[in-house]
Amino acid sequence: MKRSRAYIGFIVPGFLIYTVFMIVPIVFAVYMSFFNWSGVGPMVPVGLANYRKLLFSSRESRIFFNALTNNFKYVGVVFLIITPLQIVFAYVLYIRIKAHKYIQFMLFLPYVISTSIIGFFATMVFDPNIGMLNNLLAAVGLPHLRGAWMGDPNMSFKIFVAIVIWAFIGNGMMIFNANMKEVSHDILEAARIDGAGELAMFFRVVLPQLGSSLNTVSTLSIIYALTMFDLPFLLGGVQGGVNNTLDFVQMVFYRRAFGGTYFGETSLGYGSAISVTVLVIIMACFLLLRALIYALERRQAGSI
Amino acid sequence: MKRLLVLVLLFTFLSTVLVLPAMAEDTKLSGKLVIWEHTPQFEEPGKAVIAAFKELHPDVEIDFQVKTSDQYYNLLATAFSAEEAPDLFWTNGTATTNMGAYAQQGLLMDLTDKVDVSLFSDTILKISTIDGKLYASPTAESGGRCAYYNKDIFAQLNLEIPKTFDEFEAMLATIHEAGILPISFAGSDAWTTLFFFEPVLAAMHLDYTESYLRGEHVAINDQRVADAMNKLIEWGEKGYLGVGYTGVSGSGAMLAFSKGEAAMSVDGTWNISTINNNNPDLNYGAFQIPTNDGVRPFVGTSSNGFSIYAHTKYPDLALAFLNYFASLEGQTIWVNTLDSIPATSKIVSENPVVNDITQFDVMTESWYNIMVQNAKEDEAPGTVWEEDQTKIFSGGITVEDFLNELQELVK
Repeated sequence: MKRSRAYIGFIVPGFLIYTVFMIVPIVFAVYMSFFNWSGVGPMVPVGLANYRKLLFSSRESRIFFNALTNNFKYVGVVFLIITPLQIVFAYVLYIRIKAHKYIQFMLFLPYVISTSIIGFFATMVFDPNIGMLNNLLAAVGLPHLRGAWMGDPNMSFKIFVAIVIWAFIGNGMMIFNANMKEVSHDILEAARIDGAGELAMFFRVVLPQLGSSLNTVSTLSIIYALTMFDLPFLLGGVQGGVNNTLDFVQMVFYRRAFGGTYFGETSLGYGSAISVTVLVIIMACFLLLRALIYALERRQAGSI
Repeated sequence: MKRLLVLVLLFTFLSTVLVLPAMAEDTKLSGKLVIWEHTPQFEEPGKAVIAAFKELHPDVEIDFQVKTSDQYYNLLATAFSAEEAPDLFWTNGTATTNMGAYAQQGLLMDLTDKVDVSLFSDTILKISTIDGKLYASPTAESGGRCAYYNKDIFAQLNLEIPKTFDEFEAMLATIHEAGILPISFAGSDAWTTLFFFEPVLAAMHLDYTESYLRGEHVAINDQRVADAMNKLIEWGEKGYLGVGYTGVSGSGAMLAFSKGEAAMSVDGTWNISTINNNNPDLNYGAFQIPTNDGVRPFVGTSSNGFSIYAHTKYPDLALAFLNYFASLEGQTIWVNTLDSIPATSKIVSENPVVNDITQFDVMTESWYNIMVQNAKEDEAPGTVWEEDQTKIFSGGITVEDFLNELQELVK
């Protein structure tokens, strides 16, 4: 019997678009990373010099690894603070506490605001001169508490995390909440009959059922964390905030590849070396996460 | 004979009907130019010059596009690669390496003897000239630094424009003691820091920049430079720059001054129109921070205008525009619309703040220019400077280490 090849017609457009707009640029970026090129004029081959500069020159490696550390710091925040908070709020909505609709609306509202507006809000609140916070502190008789906020190296990352939580908690929360709604009512009923309280219900019944959403949210969060750019750019500027506390690898890439500054010099070859290195790191993290989740799923399946 | 006469008459008729209008067409400019500018700050002056040019040449169409400064050179490089570069475009001239690189690639039209730049002095023309060849028209705007001051606050505290640096410093203390912010300063912005630091350096150690202008070698990490930077830090610690100044952005600092919340702002002279737009009612003036000898130095730099793309479809039209741009009429419109400092006495400003700023005794060099003009080959001290300048206020680096790292990149 002749096998139908109709599926090829469905695959080809997507395959071509993906290849042209994703694979080709990546391959070209890898190619460019072996050249010194400003974007204009001849490309000068430099071998592995761009990678050596990135990983071993004292200044560049310091800037790059500081930024990478910030990325991983943010990954830590995602798993230790943001994701648990998303699960807790999702559960609060799931058990329909009083005013749950209002809470849901308020938690999700910032998510529909564009990042540039969030950056503007942050300026309106935290700018030491014209921001509301310092003015408010002065108005209520606490002028000694006024601060530099985003200009304080001990505060800037914390404020950044707080803004991320405020702005983006709604996204993961909705995914967890949707997953919770799929938990069988029979199981919940049985747990209640067995005398489980809300805490026990949460930890022993609902939480173990969140594998699929945890998988999705974790993967998306890691990718978001390692490609972080827009919000820190808006909050701390292209130089990565006070003492580079808000510098992330994508911002280093932006500065080096496109100049990123008023009189900055473009270096597409070196920028490509940064992007290729980051791509390798993201792929490694992604594969590690997949392996971890796979191992957990197998363990869970084995225990059933 | 009759046939010959008919032929002559026919030739005359055809010449009149076909050739003469075509010749007239040659002298009438038409076509479409695309012009790129790098920052919205120059949008209004650009539009004003274009409007005046179009009055003279109504058949000319000009698409004036204003880009954002942080993406500008990247966009230009992409346009060059796609062979779709604008007919005319801004570069920062010899102040950065971009114009030189484009000229080397054959992307810029050699404008020598094609554009009349007699309005500009040799000093100004340096910004547009490489190896004796003109690659852009400069502007007659002198980009400098000055201290803007709020006249109402000065009157309230019975203050006068200081005549020495010590008086200036004492004045900061007086304003601070009165519970008013002496200087609205953006400690998170490297450029605003530079525009504050350079006049302070000139006021404290004018001999530093003056000896450079005399052709002597000066080190970027000279103790006099460190003194001036440390002075800013000292003022920050004393509260003269406001609470949390390390978190203030450039626009936040300017807005605070415009709203009357600060007595002064030391910044670029091109901010007059920004202040006026922020608050048209602000009663303010400007002065130069004096030395202790009473000399009022003005740290000023020349400003570059537009280059012409070597492969423009309309070379004659582009040259006609640039000649108009470089003319006294064009530059009078440019400088006065910008409310900036004219670099030639042929342009007179009616803006009182501009006239305040021009009350200086000596024009001196920018420390930043000294740094980038003396960069070692393949080094970019400007990039390192921009990344690390503000860290001297937030404890990320000491002044000494900062200046030493820059010195390593400079001859």
